Amino acid sequence: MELEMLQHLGAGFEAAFTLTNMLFICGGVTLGIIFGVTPGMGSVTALAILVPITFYMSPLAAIAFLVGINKGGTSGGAIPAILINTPGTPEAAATALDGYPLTQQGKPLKAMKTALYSSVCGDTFSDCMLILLAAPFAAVALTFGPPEFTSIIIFSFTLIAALAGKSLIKGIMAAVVGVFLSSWGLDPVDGSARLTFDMVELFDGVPLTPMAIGTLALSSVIAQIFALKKSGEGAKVDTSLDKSDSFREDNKLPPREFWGNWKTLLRSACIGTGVGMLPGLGVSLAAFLGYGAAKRGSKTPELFGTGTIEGIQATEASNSAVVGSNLIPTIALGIPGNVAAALLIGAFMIHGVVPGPLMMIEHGALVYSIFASMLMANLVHLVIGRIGITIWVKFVQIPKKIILPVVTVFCFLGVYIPSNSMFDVALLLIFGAIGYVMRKSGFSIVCLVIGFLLGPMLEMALRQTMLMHKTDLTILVTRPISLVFLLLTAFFIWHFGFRGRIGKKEPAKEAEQAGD
Amino acid sequence: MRKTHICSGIFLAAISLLFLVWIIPAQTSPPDSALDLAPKFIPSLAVTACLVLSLLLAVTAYFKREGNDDLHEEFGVEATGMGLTEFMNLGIWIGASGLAWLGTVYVGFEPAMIVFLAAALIFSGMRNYWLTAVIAITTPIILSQFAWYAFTTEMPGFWRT
Repeated sequence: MELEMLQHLGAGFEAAFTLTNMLFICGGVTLGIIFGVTPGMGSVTALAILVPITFYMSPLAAIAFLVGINKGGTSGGAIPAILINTPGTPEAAATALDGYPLTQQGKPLKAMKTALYSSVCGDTFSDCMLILLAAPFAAVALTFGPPEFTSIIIFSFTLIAALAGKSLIKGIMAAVVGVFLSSWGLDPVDGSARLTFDMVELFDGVPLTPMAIGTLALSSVIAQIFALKKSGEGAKVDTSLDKSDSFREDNKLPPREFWGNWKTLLRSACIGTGVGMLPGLGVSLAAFLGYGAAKRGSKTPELFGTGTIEGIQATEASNSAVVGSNLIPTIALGIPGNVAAALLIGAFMIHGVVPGPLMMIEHGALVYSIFASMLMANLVHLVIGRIGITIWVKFVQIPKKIILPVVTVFCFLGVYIPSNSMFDVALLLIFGAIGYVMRKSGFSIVCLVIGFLLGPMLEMALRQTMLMHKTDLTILVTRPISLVFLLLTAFFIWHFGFRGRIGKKEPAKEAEQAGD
Repeated sequence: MRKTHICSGIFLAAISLLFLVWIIPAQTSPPDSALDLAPKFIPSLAVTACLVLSLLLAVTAYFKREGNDDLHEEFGVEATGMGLTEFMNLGIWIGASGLAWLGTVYVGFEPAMIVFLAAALIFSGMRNYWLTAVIAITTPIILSQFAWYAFTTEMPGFWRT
């Protein structure tokens, strides 16, 4: 089994190690870091805007490019957190706890190098876990029938809804609205028009691209522009780096110092991998859990929060470890681990690859080439991240008042290029407004997008279940696996809906506790 | 936030009801045979769930005391609830984006985006008008050229056929 896996991986490397693919990986990692560093952006915005561009690429190049963006974006967010105590991405908030004090001590480069190396370590560990676990998980999932899939999808909705926001009701509502929107278009069984309002553009359903870009990227930009209007840009930040010899000496990171905390790196990578495998648990949670665990396990916990590299290693290794492992449920079950994985599902679908247990059988060669690309992307990430460390600093200085309006035009272009349709652009603008309202009223956009992506899968599984068992839905409770997932769903509803969110801690509170 | 929950619950319940009793039946066809499931099955199921949940949201919010414990949602402090400011912002966005869309359809991408971008930059707080002009003029032109040369996609414009 292991030998077979290695053979597949070898073939994957052979297919992935091409100049074109390498260039797309380099481009993806660079863009990811730039989006991660740039104020107000982040890897999700980058993925949402750039998924449509991949229409024109081969499936392997497209996924390698997007995975590069995700990897670069996740670690890029650490740079503004370290330099100016303003995380570029939410998951980098924990990095600021020790990164910024190091900057104040005159060691910003050391902090950035630690963040980059830890991020690559966490990523590589997580990718290895993905390679080892995806096939066995998919093999188990192959034994599932429509009733099991129905229950698993319902369970995923509950889990994501429970963990994404504070209100289970609002989370499930957002997912249900996503399912409803996904049902527009032609009926998948008999092909009759369904909620198309006699518009030809809706016969294929609500398109994913304007929906994803509008709710995830554009709504964030709109909200930030209005916030900027209200509060202003704030003081100009100075991120210039000293060039003196003493500065260089202070900012060296000897291998012994870095690898001296290998236990922290490994522990955090394990935490991040575990968090990434479960749908709905965010990258931020992984970062704070990793930080807390590192502090508890450290010989010098009192140094946490004062600028120890162990703190940066813990957060960066765990938040980056989510990137690979959230593809485990995506590939094995077709259920995204988080919103970045949801966007990757969209990209897979664009290229005619349907994520799920059959993916390993039908597109095994592609899957292993993607795995190989992910491992190569880690190396590229390390090289590009290290070479460009003084360049990324410049992006931190770009004012939001310039970036945000320009990104609006990028969103517009990102939707128009693949569709050539102003109808899709209109949908983008509408979804931008809907996303803004959802952000302000606390409805989960992640749940909406995941509901939208999993809606067709749920419909197919539920309809097949009902047709196979003559509309007798008791089959859902008589099949053991299905019953287990329904019981888990009931437990989550009870736990998060009625008992309150006992298990959920705000990242800020978690940080406070971790910092105590 | 409590008010937002009550209002959004009632609003969504009304919308769900509208879809359930009028739009879905009018916009879906009956099943081909008695053995088939009706095409409206999944949309109706989703909307019914939405109706129940929105009523639940409104009712639970009504009986819950106002507190700041539910301010921090998925978007942190961004989730402030929908007040007058937010509705005004929404109106500004609908107006601006509607004009940009119409401008793109009837005039063209570059002119519409130059105006839109300039307005957005000034609205965001840019007070360096030379820089505003340079960014607003060059960005749409570069992007339009990029779309053409990289993806052979012609952006809308009345001067293009």
